[in-house]
Amino acid sequence: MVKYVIKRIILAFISTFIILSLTFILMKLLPFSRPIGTLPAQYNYYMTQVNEGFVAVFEHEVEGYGECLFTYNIPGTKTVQYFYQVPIMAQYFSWLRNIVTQWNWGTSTYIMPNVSAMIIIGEKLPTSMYINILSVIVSVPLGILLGIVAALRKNSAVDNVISTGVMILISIPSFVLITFLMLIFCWGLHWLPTQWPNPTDPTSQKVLGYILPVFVLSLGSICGYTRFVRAELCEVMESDYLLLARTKGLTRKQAIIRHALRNAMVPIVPSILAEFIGILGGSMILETLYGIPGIGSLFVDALSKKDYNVLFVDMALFTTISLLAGIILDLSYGFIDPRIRMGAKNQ
Amino acid sequence: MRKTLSTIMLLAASTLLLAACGGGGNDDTSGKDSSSSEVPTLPDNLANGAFEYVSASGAERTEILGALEKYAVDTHLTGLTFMGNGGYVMYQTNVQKGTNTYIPGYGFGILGEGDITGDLAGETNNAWKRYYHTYEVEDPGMINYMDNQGSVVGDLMGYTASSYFDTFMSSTKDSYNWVAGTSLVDRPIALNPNTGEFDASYKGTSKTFRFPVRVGSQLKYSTNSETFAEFNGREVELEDYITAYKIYFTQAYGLKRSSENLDKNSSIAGARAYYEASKDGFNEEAWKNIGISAYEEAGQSFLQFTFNGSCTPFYAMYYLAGGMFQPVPAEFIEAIGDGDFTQGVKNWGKYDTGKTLSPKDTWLSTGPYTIERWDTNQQIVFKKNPYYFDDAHYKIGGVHINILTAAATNAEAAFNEFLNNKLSAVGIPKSKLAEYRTDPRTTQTASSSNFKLNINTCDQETWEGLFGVDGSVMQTPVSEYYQCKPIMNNDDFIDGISYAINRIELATNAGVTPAFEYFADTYLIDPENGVSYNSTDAHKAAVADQVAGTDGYGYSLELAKQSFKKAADTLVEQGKYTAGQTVQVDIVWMSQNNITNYGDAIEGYIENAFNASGATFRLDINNYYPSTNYMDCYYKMMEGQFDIGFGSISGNEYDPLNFFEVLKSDNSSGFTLNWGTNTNVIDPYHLIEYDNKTWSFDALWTAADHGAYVEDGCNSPLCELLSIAVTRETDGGLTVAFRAKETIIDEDTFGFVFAFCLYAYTDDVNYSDYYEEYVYFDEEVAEEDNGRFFVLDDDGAYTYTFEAEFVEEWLEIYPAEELAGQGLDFYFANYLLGSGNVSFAGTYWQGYIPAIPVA
Repeated sequence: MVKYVIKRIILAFISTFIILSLTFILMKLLPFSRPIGTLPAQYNYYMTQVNEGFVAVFEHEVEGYGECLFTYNIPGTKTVQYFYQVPIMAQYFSWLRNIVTQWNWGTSTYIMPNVSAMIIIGEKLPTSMYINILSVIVSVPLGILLGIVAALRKNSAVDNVISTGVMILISIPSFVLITFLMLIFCWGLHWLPTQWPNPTDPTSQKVLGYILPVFVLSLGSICGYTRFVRAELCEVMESDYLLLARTKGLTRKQAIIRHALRNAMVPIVPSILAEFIGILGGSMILETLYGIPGIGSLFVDALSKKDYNVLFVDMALFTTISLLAGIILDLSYGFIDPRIRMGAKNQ
Repeated sequence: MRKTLSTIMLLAASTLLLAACGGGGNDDTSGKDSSSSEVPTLPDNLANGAFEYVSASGAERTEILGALEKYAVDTHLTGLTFMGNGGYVMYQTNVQKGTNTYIPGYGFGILGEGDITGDLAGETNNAWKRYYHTYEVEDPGMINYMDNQGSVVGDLMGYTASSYFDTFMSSTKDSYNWVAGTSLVDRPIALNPNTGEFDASYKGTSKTFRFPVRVGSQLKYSTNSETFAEFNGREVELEDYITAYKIYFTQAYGLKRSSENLDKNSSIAGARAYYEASKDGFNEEAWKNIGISAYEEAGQSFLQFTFNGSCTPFYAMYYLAGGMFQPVPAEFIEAIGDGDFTQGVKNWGKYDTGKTLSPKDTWLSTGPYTIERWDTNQQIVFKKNPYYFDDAHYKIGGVHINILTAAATNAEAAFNEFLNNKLSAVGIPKSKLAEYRTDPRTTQTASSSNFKLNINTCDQETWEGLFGVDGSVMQTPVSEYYQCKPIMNNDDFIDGISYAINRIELATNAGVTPAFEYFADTYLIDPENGVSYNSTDAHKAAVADQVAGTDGYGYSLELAKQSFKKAADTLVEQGKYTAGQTVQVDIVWMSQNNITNYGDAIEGYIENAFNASGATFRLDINNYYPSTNYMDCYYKMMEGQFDIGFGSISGNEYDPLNFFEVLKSDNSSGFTLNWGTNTNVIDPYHLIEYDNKTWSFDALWTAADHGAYVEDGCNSPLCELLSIAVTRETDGGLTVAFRAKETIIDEDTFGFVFAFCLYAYTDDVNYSDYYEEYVYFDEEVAEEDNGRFFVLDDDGAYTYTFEAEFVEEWLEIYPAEELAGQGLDFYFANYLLGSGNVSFAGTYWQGYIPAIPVA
């Protein structure tokens, strides 16, 4: 088992490395973002790129750097400067070297100019986590409860209402839902804040600020759990061992609690664990719409504003979270269901 | 606080065959379609020589502007204006405006003269309930406008910055006046070129000005930072004013705006030379030659500025006003850089890398407000600066800026915040206009900026000349070439679009003001007397033809159909389109809100008029916006990657003639948005006449702005290198002989310098050494040429020889075989001297020989 865990962790590292490398290279393969404006303004832009290590400047034409991006005759001097894009792999290794040797992921160029990208992520992470933890806390019991009710009342009116409601709600994207809910509860009824509260707002306002995003984020999970639990429980309820339990003299309630629920939970519990890991990821569009200063909106911001350093750290975080969630999910099966032994040798 | 200056755009739509300058013959340099087969001959009064109308009277400059505008309007260079930014704004009832009469270019005087008379119900913080509440869609994370080109940072800085000169509402509350700010006098005092003395009564033009400024107890810094509390209340020293300029102009600090203002007439003299000499950091020696100085005289502290060009005291005041150069102590910069000045500049007005400091810590205020809080991406709060020298003037206790990201995608987000009593004022979105137009809280504002549809009328060849791999404006790889559409190159089609837009209806529905003219009324031809250019006869004559037959705002469905039909027939006849096909034209907008508010209507106007015109092919307009970053729309236009684009550029409201630079096709302003017409040629169909001479647009504009050397009506370089030959003499000397096209007009007004430079470099990047020799083409200097000989041949060739002894010594030190490179550079610069010894019409050229020839 230990060997399996180590192997998975090593693979996760390799996967992270590959994903980040590909992200870096693909992003850098996008057309070079050229400046506009007067020639001096363009020159200034290229000099900034030089300082950031993306562009190299020479005082004569050179080969091996591809197409010359820009030439500039410095007025009043003899100097002509030629700007070339630093080869992508050179940029890549320089970036990698800074991370490995100095744990330096670079600084933000647009979102928070001058600030370390790592610090920006660290500042945004807690907000996303709080919202998602709350949404898990809300969604898990509610989802399981509704799933159990629907399964135990299978094909009844209650089951039909729950299942139909779940199907409708699961089909509505969260950003559509929050837009409607904002219209009704924030701008219409004025019950809830219209955007994420400021740090200086009173506690009551801050508490109210959580309601809408937590509810919207939970709704999808509630629907998911409901469907999952209902399906699992329905299957277990029809299994032979449950029939055997009833024939042994257990009441329906006893059979469900002692046998059906326990077995139905085997695939559900790992998904709850995975969701706990996934809470770190934030929600890109929802955070943007409600002005939540989390890492989801940060990713959208960094992407649209081409703040590469922030984008890469954000991407690294998302990648790590996903891989970690995968490992924990796999391992949890073994802990929850003793019959599952991963990586064990055949006896 | 300095007002945000307004706007403009251009439209390079033109038409017709254009006659190339130089030979006086006709040459189609525009690539435009023309239905006319016979090109008129050019008149024989083409302007030739050196001209300078900088110091012309106001009436003369109005006439020049009228002549230029007439040409620009007739050829669509001004773009298709369709709306102004004025509109319906709602104010909370607790906002007391400074005046109920909207003052163009100034507003209602909310902060300067107004007040907040009651609590804002939606504000939960009691201390801020009487602050003015506004919003931005993003937090720029900084307040230092020297290092940012966005308007948001400029606005934020404006709250905290003092200016030498400022604007306040007049006592009649229907206009505004320029008054002293940190200067102790209302206008800079000119150095009278006739007497050589500073003279406050002299109102003519000069290059040098001075004025006394506030120091000591008259001006103090303010900060709410706990980390740098020792600077709170600290008195400003005279040197602090200079520190701001030193930071700005030092290239090594790499501030984003630092190279913007080096070469203009209004630039500080010597700024370019200092900038180039400060690549490695502040250069004490080079700074001595810049046109900025500070000194004490008769118990007062003076700042003195010398500009590249001459101007009146009013314009000197205008050029120097603005908060970007408010004083800052060098000790503060060092402190925020933890003892390192360069790091301090990097942190100035921003977060530091570890985010232990915020802009609240790294910025000092000398303006009316000071940063109180800066909560990233959530809110920025300013409170009154208790040390502000005009503290009593400002009644409102603070400004709260909500970062409302939803407003970027939701047109009603800000309005809903207003209805929730969280904002003090808001523009009414189109969807709410019917409901709130007559609300008692609603008021109408006049336009300070007119918005246009900018047009790319280039044919493919013209486009590649401007934007291709060797483009004169921008260098674009072949894979990213824009495919220009023939229909956009047809003048009648562009006319049709202009006629098709029902500006009054669109504006009424969208809640904006209809506009047809290029300038908003805030552009003043006589700023000291408040005369708007739009009120002049010159302007009315310029647009008369375009307004004729329309509703007064350029709309006529019938004329639109006629123009479209004519365009379609021509294009089909030329084989560029076939009957029955559908032609796509794209309009790029800044946001989905733009499309909803204006784009859909404009699409309908154009398509309906075209498709009902009897044209044999159909037109399909496609509205789109590139991203949520509105600047991407501008980038599309600035890079020529568009058919039609929506936008507006800020400009100098006090010098509309100067602002016409944005119409020039060489993009000398950096803000040309319309492409396709070469403005440095004479259009025989649209002649520009002034001073009994015929001009190209560029030539007359340049002559009026700073002076021009003109040949056959067009801007021309003063000197053109025709040939150059470098030979190694048998004795080892190195001779450079060159032939240049003579354009010397007058020995007294012409300066010409040719420089030769032996260079050597040991690696791929840096020169390891160079020897530079300047040759002034002035008899006296030439004869005293340091022992080396200089010959002006009879046939006009100039020869310069590096003596054999010197060349041998050079090659001994720098042998070619041991170096990465070695050779000879040569370059020349020249200029004309106008009135008041103003240099203008400079030319710069350079080239190099890769290796010194073998003897």
